[in-house]
Amino acid sequence: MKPIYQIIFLLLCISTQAQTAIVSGSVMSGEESIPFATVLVKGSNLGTSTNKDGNYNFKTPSGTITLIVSSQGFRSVEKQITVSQGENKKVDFKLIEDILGLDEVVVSATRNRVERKNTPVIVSSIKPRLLNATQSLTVADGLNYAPGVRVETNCQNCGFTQVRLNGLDGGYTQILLNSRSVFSSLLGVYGLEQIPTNIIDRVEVVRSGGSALFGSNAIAGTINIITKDPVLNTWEIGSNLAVIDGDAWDRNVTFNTSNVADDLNSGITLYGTYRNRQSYDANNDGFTEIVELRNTTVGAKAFVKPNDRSRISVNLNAIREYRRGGDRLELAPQFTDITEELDHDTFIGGADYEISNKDNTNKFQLYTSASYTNRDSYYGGLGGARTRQDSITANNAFGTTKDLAWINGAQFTKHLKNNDVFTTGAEYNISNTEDIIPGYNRLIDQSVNSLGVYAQYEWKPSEKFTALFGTRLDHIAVDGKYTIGGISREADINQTAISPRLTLSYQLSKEIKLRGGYARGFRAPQAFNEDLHISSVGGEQQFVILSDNLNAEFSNAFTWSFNYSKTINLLQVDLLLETFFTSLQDPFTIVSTGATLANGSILEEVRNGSDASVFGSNFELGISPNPKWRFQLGGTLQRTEYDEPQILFESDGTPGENDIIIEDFVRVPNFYGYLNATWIPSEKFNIDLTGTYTGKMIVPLVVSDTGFLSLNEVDPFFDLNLKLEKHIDFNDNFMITLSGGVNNLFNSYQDDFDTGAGRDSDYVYGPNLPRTFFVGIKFGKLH
Amino acid sequence: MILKKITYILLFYLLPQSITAQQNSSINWITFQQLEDSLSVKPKKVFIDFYADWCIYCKKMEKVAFKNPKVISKLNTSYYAVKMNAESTDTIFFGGDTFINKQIGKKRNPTHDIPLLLASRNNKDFSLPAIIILDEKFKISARYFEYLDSKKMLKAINQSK
Repeated sequence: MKPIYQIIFLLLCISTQAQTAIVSGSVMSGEESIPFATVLVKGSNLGTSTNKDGNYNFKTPSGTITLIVSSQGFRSVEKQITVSQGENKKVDFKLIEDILGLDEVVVSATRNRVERKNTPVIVSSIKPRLLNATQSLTVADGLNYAPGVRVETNCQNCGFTQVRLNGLDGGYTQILLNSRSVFSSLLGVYGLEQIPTNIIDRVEVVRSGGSALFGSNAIAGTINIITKDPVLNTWEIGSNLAVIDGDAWDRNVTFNTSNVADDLNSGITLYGTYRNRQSYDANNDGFTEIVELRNTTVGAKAFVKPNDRSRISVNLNAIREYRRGGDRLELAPQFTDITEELDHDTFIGGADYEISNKDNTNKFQLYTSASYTNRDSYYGGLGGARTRQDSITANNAFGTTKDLAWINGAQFTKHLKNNDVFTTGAEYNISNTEDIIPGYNRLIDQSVNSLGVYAQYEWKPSEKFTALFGTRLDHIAVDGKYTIGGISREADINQTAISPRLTLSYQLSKEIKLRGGYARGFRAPQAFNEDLHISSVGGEQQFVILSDNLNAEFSNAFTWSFNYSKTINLLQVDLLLETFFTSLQDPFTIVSTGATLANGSILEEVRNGSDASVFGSNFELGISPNPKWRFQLGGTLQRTEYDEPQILFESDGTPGENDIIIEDFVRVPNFYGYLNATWIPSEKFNIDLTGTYTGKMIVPLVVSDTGFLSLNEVDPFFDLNLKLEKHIDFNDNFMITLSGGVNNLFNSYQDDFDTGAGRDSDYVYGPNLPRTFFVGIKFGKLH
Repeated sequence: MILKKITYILLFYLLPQSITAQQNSSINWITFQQLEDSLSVKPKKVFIDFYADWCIYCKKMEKVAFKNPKVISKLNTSYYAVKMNAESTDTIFFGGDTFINKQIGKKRNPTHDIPLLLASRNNKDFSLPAIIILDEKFKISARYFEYLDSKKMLKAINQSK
């Protein structure tokens, strides 16, 4: 049985070129020898591996050659040597252990699959493990656990959530589903609460505009929701039951099953969710703080590989979501004081085709995706009074919305011989929104067509340095009609803009990677998600309309980051420090113009505000001493600043009221962050402790019928969640996971909600749940 | 020592009888220790499958190719089939040498010396799945580092002479 080493040796030295020198030596890591390390002559197929004692010995050509030594788990080392004919040279190597846990593959940074540690821009990835640990039922719940991201509910009547990335509100972040921008403006309003977490493989967050190729409106960044790609045949059914503050029940049922052909050339995943959440009233005024929600989602994702080099995939999703908030939810909406009732019927579908050449150096992709939403809405109510006019208005507050987003694109990627990568592509997007509420004479009829062409070159002149140059050329045509009451606005905009991007990364040492980048972005004037949302104040509705002659908004974003990763035996440490500076020119700013509508409704106008800048630092520290323990702490320290004082409320001259002027952004804390700690003592049991901190911030509250504001400084929140999980494996085909715990353990929750029919429904901030106990069960063939 | 050998020889002749009955239902996987004894008695081709708990493609092969009746019968008749967890913590005596897992306590996924020795490649990291086929003289005739469906698996085990 001795020949075992010879076999290996034979296998590795299959080369018959002129070999005229002999190189030998040892490969060590510290005091320890490394057996079976590979020793190669760079640029050739000559090589050997070290024996059991870490020694090697092989023939090489004479002259100047570079030896590369690698071994699994160690960083490879190169050494240039010169050997003369017949020489017997001794070359020893010292290897250093490699960083583990960073070998994930991500797509958001360059739009091609790249190992996470090698991406030129920082990609934060939120995995199902964390979504599970935080008891996140939808994407909206789990996003807080990446640096710079804060998700907040912004309406007590409808539960409208917004992602705030690096302090910029929802409209500045591009949300993608499997790298496609199917989230239209309308879906952006409630969509994050409509994507269940059981279909998610990971959520990739890229801050700042480094990921230019996804779109020029990704000024704050992109959030890319990637759904699962199965290999095994699995199925699972799960259910969760939660009780919000001992008062309102939230229950859901989820399922998913995957079947992949034995040859892996085709497969399908089917999934579905049903959720029913009762409304919750925190201050017993009879008006909801958390809205009633019923959501049913079903979907399927299938793929087929006609041959080894091509793949076709299709996906179909249907979402039916009903939500209602306000008071007396048991009555028809027109008999209540305030009701916001929304019934969404959304269809999302898409198809992708990709083909590569034989050696995988060229890849071509063709894709189309569409989402279509049909929505019935009711934004209204009697508003506290019982006059004839109130009743007529309340009876006419029903509306309908139709919304289409259709994306078509092609992309070509070429991997060049020198490791450089060239990517180019084009995308044509159509987005049509029609929102009609006849009772208010409200109309949004907007069509946005955009054509984008992009090219990107990833230049890797050395192992350590990477530069990513990219440019995107967008032509956007907006054709919009906006009416509310007697006010009418139109938009007919044709805008072409170039958005160049540059990212540099440098591996300073084995542990330290430096990155820097610049990105230009722009947004053409149009109704974004927030502008489609209607809130209520003083018993009347508050509408947003675009002002005349809006200019496009431009941004310049700079980032620098420092990433330290080190692995010592089982210990893994990862530290990220990131600084960002984003300046906005003519930012779209919502200004309250007071009660200017005939029926007393408050009108807010989107205007080009004063130039502003957002700057600060994100940090994230991850430590895992061994696979049983994981700790992560992240946060953001930031400032926002208008160059000139910005008006937020324009007084109509009512005595005692004056213009409200701000110098920094509202609803942006100077400090916010998160933590998560996991203890996995065995495969059968684990405990997760997760939490978020929201620092002090300014939140505007409407205090009079004219829309006059009070700027309230609100206290910080610390929202801590605890979850315990028990796994029972009956056999390979049936497993059960039981879980239980509490969200917002310390009940750190807003305590100054506005009350009654005249309340300002937008005055809601901080953690989105009071103390909530939950239990869950999941069973099936889980893995 | 002699007694031990006799036991093994006896076992070797006795075992096949008891196993033939279930030959078509599953592969007669053996360990490296058993392999040494078996080889010393009767040289035969060897099929080695390295797997790990996290390797989903290994699991898929377990469910597909290794459940295929043709694969099972071919492996049971023409090969000694060895299955080994690449992250095993066992000390294994084989061919007069002792093999251990040197990476325990140093790596998150510690790989045992035997898979490192047999399934390491020139300029690539160690990866799973890894299937090694050796001839009667215990010389490697083929190595596979990818998912093999039943068809490809059959081809692989029928191909090697």
